[in-house]
Amino acid sequence: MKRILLTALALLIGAMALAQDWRAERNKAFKEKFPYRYEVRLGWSGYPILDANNFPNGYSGGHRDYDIMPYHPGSGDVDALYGTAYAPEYMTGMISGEFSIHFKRWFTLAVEAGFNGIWGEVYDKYDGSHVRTNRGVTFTVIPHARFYWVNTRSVRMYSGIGLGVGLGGYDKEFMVYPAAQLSPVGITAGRKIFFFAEGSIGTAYMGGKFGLGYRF
Amino acid sequence: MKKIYAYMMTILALASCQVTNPYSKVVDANDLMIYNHGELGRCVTCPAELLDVLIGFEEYLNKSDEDKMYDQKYYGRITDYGSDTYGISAQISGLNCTVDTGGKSIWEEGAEWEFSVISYYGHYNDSQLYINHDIYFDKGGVLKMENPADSVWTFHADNVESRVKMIRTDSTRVWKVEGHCRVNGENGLSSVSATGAEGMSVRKVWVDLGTTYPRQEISYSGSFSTDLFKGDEKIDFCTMTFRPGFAASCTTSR
Repeated sequence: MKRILLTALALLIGAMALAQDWRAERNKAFKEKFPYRYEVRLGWSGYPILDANNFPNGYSGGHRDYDIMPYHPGSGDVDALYGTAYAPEYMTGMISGEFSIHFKRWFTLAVEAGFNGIWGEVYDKYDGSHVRTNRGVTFTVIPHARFYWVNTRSVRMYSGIGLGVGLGGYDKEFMVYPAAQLSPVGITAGRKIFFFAEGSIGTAYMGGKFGLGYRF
Repeated sequence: MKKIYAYMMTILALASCQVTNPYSKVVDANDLMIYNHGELGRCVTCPAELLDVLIGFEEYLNKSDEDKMYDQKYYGRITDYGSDTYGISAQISGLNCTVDTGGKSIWEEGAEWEFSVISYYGHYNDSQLYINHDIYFDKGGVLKMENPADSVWTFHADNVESRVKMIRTDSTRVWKVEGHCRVNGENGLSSVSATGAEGMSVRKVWVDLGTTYPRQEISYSGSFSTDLFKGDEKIDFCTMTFRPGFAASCTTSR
């Protein structure tokens, strides 16, 4: 019995050593084909869902000035009848820069910082004359953990998760709020200079992000 | 540099996403009609509804305890605060108020019933307009019996003055209302509204559309106008003329 146990232990240690060698070989081979420690990215994201909910007028939480409240019959609120009208409001979507450190073949830590521009025209409901242009911007900082599961010479695929913070202001409103992003699938194509695209859901952008990057 | 900036702004503008639809538009005839009808609610409908409910309320108070229990409209919907003060539930007809009767009958000459708060929720529907009134007199008001022989009361609340005369018919009460009201806004905006020279007739009718439960609506006869001002300048007006069973006809400045 003792002999069997000793044999099993020896086999296990041997297997572990072999696996370590194999992993070291693999890492070495990967280092040769992917000799980069850092990477920077410039990207453009999809629909900024939380900003779109927090800032523009016309949403339930966005009624800030008395003059944009809708008139309710019987309220006797003549100011609401002749207040201001908001034309469609626009957002650029988050435009972000990113710095990443490749710690392992399979693991990268990235810090993303981006901004989302917001603007919209305001008109006088009495005669349609232009009253003002509202402008605002939000900033978001999100550290991401990325886990790579395809590592070829030119193509890498990954999944990632990020938690951070957002803040910004628009039309007299200022807010600070948490930010979270989940990217089930992302892909980079290229080596030193690469294109990237990822499908993502979260507070900062919904749908995805794409852009260009540089590794060094 | 200017070119680069222009290119960047163009790309951003083209690629940006629209996150809201226009919230509201320039005031049009429909807006003026809705506003005018809202004011009609405050100085015509609400006083008539108030009297309709309160006359029934007094009849209920004069009933024996046993008879009260069989009154499906009022039983359980009146709160007795003591000192001749009662709360009237909106479940009776959409009107909610707290009233101090001063120990006098609503039919007694000189009787003044004082309200601490009045709210009224009702709706109007014809083939052109469907309006939900949401009226709130947060400073209350006063209802005063002016002429018992002719069944005439006056109602005063928050820049609203109305004279309401009850005309009994076999089936239901009909009210003749002469009223006017004023609104002073915050930016120099104001409105003055009034019934036409002959006043307006108001009566409740049961409407059964066949698709929903029958519901009570208010039928008007007569005209009601609102003039809107910016400072001293008249900027808009709306006159609506009502004929029972027909859509209201409107004349507006837009």
